[in-house]
Amino acid sequence: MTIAGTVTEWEFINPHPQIYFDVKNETGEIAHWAAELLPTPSMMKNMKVGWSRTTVKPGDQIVLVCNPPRVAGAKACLAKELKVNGKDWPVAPGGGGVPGAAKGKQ
Amino acid sequence: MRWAPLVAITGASTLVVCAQVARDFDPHDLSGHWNRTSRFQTFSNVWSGQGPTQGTEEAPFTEAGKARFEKNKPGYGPRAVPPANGNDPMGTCDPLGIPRLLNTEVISPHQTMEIVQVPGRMIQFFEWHHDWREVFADGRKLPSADEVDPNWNGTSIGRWDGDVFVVSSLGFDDRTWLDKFGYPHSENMRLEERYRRRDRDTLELTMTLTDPETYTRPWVSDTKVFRIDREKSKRWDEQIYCVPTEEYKFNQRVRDVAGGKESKQ
Repeated sequence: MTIAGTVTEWEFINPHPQIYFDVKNETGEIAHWAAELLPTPSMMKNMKVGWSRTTVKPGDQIVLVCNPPRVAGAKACLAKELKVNGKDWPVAPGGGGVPGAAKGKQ
Repeated sequence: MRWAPLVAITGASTLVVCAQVARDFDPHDLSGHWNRTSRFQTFSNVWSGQGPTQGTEEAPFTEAGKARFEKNKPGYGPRAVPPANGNDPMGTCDPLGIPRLLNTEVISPHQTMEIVQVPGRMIQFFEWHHDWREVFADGRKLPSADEVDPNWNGTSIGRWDGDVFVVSSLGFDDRTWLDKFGYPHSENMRLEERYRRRDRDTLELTMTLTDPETYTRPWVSDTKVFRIDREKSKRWDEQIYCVPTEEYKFNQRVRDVAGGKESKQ
């Protein structure tokens, strides 16, 4: 599933980096979502693209590709792909999405 | 040094001689940063969570062992549940203990095990959870079970058996799991680890677990293979702690939400 929203908070801490963001639906209602990325040490060491505490900021526009939540209606997911203000940010070694994310844990 | 056959072919005859050749490593030196490269992140070669594998072996549970196994709700493997509904000790930053530190979280290139050998001791430093463990190799005997209180990493002694460093341990806290699939053990578990430096860059580890309360027979792990990481010491210490406040917040804000529990966002 693809979700677009506005970042409210970015936590670059263990065990996983976390993005919190607001998603507005067709009727203008806002839902608050959370997304996790791969474990933080992986993000820091495997993806030499400059992940840091300031990579994502409140107000940034993001587009995420996530696995659908296992629980219907849950508003948290594991990010497989991430675009920040129109720029792709690799979330897995090799510069792409999360390998095997469809089977991974959330 | 070791003796090795050298073969020379000279015209019509073949000459075989033995000569001393230098080994480019000391088999009794296990020191260094080691990244595990073998596939299985479980104690033994049980189903990996990535699909059925050759040589699949189920644990030889006792009835009590099977019951404890069923109570453990892991976030990985064939019995995985959403972490919000699980009880993996790692999810609350509890110590992982031995042998889990050896076979679960050591993954190249950022979660390494460093071995340091000093006179009379081998010390293992684990990057994940920033934990460490001492193995005494000064000739002392392993205490009896009633002489030690159970603790997270057990009580361990080591000795050389040829080129194999044998670590014998007892006195384990039974709150730890063997691995991230939730395999249990009792406080009476005894563990033997056998380390062998196969070559300059490769370390092998095989473990045998004896725990009659939990397993009907000694359970032997698959052979864990580690490759030396000579670049690790050139980098700064990563200090990968499991921080309870961070983990708790993550559980509330992400894991619980993903698992359908009440949102704490």
